Amino acid sequence: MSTTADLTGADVGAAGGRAGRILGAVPVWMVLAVAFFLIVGIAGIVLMTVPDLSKLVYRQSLSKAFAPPFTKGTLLGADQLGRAIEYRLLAGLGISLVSAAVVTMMATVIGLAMGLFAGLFGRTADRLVTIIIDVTWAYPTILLAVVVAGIQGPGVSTVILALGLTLWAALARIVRGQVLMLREQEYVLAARALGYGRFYIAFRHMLPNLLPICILMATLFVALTIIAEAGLSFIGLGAQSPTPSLGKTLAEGFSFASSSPWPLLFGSITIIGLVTTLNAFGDHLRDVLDPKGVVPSAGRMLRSLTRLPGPAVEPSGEKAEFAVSAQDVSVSIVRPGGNVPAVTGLSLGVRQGQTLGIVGESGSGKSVAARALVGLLPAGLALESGRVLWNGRDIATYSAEQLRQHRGRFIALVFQDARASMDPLYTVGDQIVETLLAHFPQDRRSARGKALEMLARVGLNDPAVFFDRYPHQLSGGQMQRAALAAVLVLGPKVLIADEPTTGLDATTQKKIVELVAQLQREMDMTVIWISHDLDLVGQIADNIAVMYAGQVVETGNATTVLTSPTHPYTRGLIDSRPHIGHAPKTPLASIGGSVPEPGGWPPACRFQPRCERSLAQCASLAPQLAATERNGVLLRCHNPIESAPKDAT
Amino acid sequence: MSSSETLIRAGGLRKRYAGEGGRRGHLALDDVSFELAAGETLGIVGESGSGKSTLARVVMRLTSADGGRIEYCGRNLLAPNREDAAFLTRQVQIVFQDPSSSMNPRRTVRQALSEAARVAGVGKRNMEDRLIELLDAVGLSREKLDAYPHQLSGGQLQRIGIARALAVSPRVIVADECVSALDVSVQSSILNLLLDLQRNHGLAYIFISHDLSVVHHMSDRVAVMKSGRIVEEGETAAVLGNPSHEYTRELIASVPGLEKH
Ligand code: SF4
Repeated sequence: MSTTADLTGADVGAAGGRAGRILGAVPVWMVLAVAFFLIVGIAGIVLMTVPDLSKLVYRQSLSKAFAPPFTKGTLLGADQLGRAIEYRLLAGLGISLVSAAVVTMMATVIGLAMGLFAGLFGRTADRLVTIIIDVTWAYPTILLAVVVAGIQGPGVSTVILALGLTLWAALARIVRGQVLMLREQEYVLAARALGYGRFYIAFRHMLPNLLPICILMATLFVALTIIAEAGLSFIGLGAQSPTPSLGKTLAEGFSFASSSPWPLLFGSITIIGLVTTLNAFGDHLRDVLDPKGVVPSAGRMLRSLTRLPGPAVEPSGEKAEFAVSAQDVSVSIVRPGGNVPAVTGLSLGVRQGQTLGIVGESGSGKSVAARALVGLLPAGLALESGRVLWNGRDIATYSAEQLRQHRGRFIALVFQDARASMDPLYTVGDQIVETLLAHFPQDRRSARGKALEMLARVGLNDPAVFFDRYPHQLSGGQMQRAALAAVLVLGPKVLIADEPTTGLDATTQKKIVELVAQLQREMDMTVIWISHDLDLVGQIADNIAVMYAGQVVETGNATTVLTSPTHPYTRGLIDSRPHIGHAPKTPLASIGGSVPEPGGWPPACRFQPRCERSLAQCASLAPQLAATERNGVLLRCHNPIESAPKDAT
Repeated sequence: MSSSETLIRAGGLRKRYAGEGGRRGHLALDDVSFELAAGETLGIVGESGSGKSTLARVVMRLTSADGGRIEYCGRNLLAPNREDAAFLTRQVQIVFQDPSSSMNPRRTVRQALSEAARVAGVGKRNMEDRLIELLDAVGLSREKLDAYPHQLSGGQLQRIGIARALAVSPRVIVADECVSALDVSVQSSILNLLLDLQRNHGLAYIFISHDLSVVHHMSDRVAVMKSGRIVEEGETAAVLGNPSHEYTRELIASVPGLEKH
């Protein structure tokens, strides 16, 4: 879930806070630029509408023709007819502002109405609107402008009509898509189940959610109108002399550029400045209105991507006891107000050929741990401290190129969303061949042979058929098999599987689990299996690590941990799952409260607020992961449960 | 179970989704029949594509059926007249799967719940009391009334979803994968809540899930669905303890931890 405990307080307090939040977050230069263009544009409108003032725009004086800036009583110089450029530009901005406003209104109203109509009024309406959208979309604005110009002659209103009647399609298309998506949202279904009608749902539940998109598209429309007006006026379909539109100024400036470059220069600067400002403003709005919120800025993303590992440590002398291990690894989520820990003090290791299960709920940091172990933290996460060792060697000592090579050949990663890890535009076979060629140069024929063999090994019988399939043609189970083939074809020593069967049907899940176990034996692989499902992990893992709120709380032999858990959290997890042995319809054990999100962890024992065994010291003194007498199990708890067989309850 | 009054009687339900480009679509419901008595839980277990969610939608009239009939206390549930439709809305409600989409992100708990309470005829004057009563029933404090969805945890959102269904005082609640998206450690508290509510309000559940252990825990009777058909149906203990259909056996075998017990 994207809800973040620590953000909520300040985030959306009152509904009215929204506008303030948007404006408050805009960078100063952007506010200034937008305000500048608004004020100048309004000045331009005044200039055009007040009769006495508008003379300034049209006043010709041949003696001033082509005057450079700051001469003959002008500020920015004069054009071929001796008209002051500053007034022409001012008026042009005014015209642009008005036409942009009209076009945006037209396009937004038509687009919104069409999109809602298509999404809410059944299949026939949808088909009809889709056809209209497609036709409009395919029909170039310029062509429509020619037609309109043929009917009513060229002019600013021609530009407005041509744009207003085409641009809406872009919005309608997006709105339709959003409505189709919103229609399936459970709160909309719930409203329907309560008997509410279409119009109620459209106004109450859909419009508020469509508003941000409309605002974003509107800024786009404004920018597009300004560019299109310039373009259409340039080719003679838009404003006609002596109308001082920006496009016209540019066109005339272009014709007389050899006599005086100033009109062209200032005209271009105005348009570029205006459009750049609008685009930046639009981008900014997208960031703010993006409901998922914390999108890292481009700069921050770049930094964390290029972040160098900490100071190179001596290649460690220890024997490679573990195929992969982590030593005191801490990872943080990069946030504007200061980093938030996601995983702290993670130490674990897996012996060659064995299976380690990492179990945890959402927010436990298990997926972050997986990414840290492959040295591939996504943007927005930063390694704060600690070492990751592959075969005993600190991966910080590898060069970027070495790291890239080892990833894939030594260590591989498969995800829950196998589809997302494949490119939808290439066939499964092509992608496997490309991976193979990138790591082991060879001729395509032999690569194809190996890909086919791998597809067969992951149980996609009839590999030649699957070789030519596109990802969308595969079922969930087939997709996960293909994803496995794509990483295992490089023969990695370690496979990290991050919830690879979550979301698959139970019967399919069982087959994938068995497949991985079989391949593990055949290829002598080390496997780290990450899951929220204790029962599943219990079946396949030699060792298990239970994570809660960014820490390992109990780890050791899987059977020992699962049959006699001593950490209250592990025990709670096991007992709260209904088992066939549990009497039906009787209350289950449950853990109160909910999993705290990163940033909202209690200071000492992170499980303390939910723990029934909590002692006074649990709230003040953080328990350390320490050895116990049970079969080498490590435990982080001040008041562990006596290790009695769990059936005793 | 104790009460023998039959609330829902469904027979021969059929639904085919239109295929793309005139192709024959996928048969989501193929001659499905079942009954639901007052106060009992009918568990429906099946994998993705088995038609179990389509069944939920048909019962809620969110999707139309192509054939068959459903009666609720003798009234036609599939094509009700105006008066029956209003009645059915207040008799049968639904709780959905995904807590993150179960509430409109831009509306508060108060808005979401009063939208539902209004349907039951709760007026402005009594609204506040009713909302607090509803929150209380699902174990949430009244401070939550002004919270937005993103300020609530998954478990709390699911409680709001249940409160919304309870707002019309229904006799039947369709629970469609209502704990599947929750963290394991909060699932059991929601299951416990549903059991409590059943005991206190005499609710009947159609409890739909892909998770056999959960269905086993919640249901008096179980129907196993595969490819749009109910392949096996009966008392929970009988079906899961002594499955007669090959597919049921396969399903049981694929649940980790079940064989061990
Ligand atoms: S340290 Fe204390 S609060 Fe934490 S899990 Fe152990 S007993 Fe519970």
